[in-house]
Amino acid sequence: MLSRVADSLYWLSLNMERADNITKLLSVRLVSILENNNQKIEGEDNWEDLVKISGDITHFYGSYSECNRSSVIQYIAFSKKNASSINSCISIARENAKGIREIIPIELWEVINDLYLKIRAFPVKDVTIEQLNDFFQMILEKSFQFQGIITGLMPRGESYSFIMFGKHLERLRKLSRTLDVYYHKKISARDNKDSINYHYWSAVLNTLGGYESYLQKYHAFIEPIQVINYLIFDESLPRSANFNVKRLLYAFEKLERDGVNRYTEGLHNKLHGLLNEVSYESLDHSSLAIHDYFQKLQQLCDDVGIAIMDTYYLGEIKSL
Amino acid sequence: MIKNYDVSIDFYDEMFAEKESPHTHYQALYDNISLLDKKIVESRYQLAQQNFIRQGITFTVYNNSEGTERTMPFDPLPRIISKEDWNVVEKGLQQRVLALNAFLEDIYTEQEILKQGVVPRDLVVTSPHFYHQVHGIKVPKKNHIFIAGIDLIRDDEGNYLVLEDNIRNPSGLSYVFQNRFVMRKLFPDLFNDYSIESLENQLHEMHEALKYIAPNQKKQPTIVLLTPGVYNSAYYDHSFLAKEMGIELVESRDLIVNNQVVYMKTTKGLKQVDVIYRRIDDDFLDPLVFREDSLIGVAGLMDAYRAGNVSVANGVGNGVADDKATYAYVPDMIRFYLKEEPILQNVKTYQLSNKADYEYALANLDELVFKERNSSGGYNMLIGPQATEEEKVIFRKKIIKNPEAFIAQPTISLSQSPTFTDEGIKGRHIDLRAFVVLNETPHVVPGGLTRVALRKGSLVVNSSQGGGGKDTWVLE
Repeated sequence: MLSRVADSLYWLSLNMERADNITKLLSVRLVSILENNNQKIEGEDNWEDLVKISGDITHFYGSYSECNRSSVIQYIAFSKKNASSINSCISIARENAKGIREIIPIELWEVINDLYLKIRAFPVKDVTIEQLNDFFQMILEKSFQFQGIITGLMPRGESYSFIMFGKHLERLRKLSRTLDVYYHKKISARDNKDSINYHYWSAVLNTLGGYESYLQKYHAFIEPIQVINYLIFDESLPRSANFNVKRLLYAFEKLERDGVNRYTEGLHNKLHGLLNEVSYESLDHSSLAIHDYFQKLQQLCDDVGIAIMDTYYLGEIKSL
Repeated sequence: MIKNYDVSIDFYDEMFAEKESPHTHYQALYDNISLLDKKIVESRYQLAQQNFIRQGITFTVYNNSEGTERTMPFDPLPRIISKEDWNVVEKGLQQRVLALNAFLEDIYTEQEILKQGVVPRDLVVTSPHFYHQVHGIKVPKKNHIFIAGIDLIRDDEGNYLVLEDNIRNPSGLSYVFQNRFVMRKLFPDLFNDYSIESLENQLHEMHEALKYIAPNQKKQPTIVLLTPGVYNSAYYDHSFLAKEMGIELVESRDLIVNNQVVYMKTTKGLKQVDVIYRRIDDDFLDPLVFREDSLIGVAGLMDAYRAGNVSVANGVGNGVADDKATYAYVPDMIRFYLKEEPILQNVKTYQLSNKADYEYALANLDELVFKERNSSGGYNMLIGPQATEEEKVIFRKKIIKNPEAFIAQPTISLSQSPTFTDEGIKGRHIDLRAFVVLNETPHVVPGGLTRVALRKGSLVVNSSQGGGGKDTWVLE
């Protein structure tokens, strides 16, 4: 497969995943505002978290003086200046898809193109919460459609592996970033009241797609560390860190059916390093403090990303 | 809905022999249309346009710094060609492409046709598309042409005439398939009582023709389509053809030449490329040989081509045979190389390099169509009867300054075909771009792309100038 094509598949998938995660983050937040009027939790200053999770807070303050609902939604959903806004992610995904239309199923291109056209047509100014909710819902449904088409139509060849690389790596990054920011906030800004705790962590579970299965497994008992352990180490939850690292390994092994060689050894080792880090029984078995643990996870993800680029000549296509 | 359609007296009408009386092969379509409700047609027409946008079947128009993606307007009333007519057209096209191909081989080797004075030497040597760099290259199977797009029109009696040959990088084939696809999906009832030539196998034919020219008859050649990239106006065409032929779509940055061998950069290292169907013009193909500033070309490609390590389709230097002045000599080429009489006639053409023609043309500027020899896409032309005085003054100056660069033709009479317009079904001018694929023998894609000038009275059918497309049916 052409390195340029592999590169496009990777970024296409990564950006679709990123858009999906941000949308989920925003839509959960919008609903939780309606359910909970406690100012201590939903005070306007808390909108900063969303920026921290999905982008760069310094960059944000370069364009906006105030951090509130309207400016944050504007920034992380629609801004063209923010390369990680939903709008930008979908545009990047489309650009990449456009260059490899002959490789991906027609249906996949159509979903991306349709989503792109819908976002462009959405009025950014003077929208009601209801319109926003519908809009985010639409994106999430398109995103499911996107995943469904990949699962249902794409041969499990090289293309599929690069799509998996982009998707699972991005999911891992966002997972650890989200947990890091939310856990940190718990310490600094919240009363340790049960009802608030419950509400807060159920929003985290919702954002990361583990709410219902968690309730079933732990009988509706929500405890912060237990939530984190579940989202990192659970082997059956498709959104858990453990699960996503295994998918990365699976994609790698599919590509390297003939076994690891000196070209692919580096990536192989990095992936296993990452796997070790998400294979504990619980956080108690890690020697690191929680924040440091998440930092390490981020670092390992970045290393894997770089190793993928190097191994398969992605990015700036090098002269060989 | 089609009742009271005005049949033109000046132009040949594709559908009607006279008022309310369709040609035999259009009778069933006439009945099928009559059964359609106008509202339904309109809503389906909207669906067709949305379909094109959703699928991103667009071409890019550059009139400002940011290109706009536009769809090619689609007209749901098909053009139908009878079996008898098509048999003649098909033979004529095959003959023409064989002669053009023979001309190219001759021009870049022995130049017999120049030696015998059949085609003036000046004409060839002054052509900007005549490349000495091609001289002596052993073109695989002597196939300089892989695909040709021949533009046909019909005079007021319905005779098919050749208006233009495109044997460099003819585009538009993907629209032939998309038009058919959309017709089948949205206007299935119009197909009732018709049995038409299928397009199903055409891309396989193309693939075979590319395989045929692989260096040293390589059995499983690696074939790629080289595109300038997503920003090219015909990118959809490139992407569609690569996908449907099952070949790799590459950009220049994907290729590299080492020791006269072309490779593509893959996730597993370098892989040799055997055949390149390039959709990049000659000038930009190889910065070492042609334009140095080309960012879309492949350095060293010509060297690899010359060494016989890679085949390039269409061949380099084909432009010498399809410029608007060489055009006039194609009938002579047919007689010279094939010893046959041309089946398809040319439109009468005045060479302004020729003194008598020059004087006649300038004296009759009001009635003639003037074209620049090396322009295409409907640009740089003057339609005498429709031009303003100011336009005529400017063009006259251009001609006087450099007569060799121009040809003139009588105002071409394009046939008319019933077309959906804001004013109901009206006659609009059409032409036909037919596609010929050269394998061991030439293969003609049944039908082709019927282009329609949607503006009332307009004779310019090019998509860049507001032309649309129609599905084209060849009856079985």
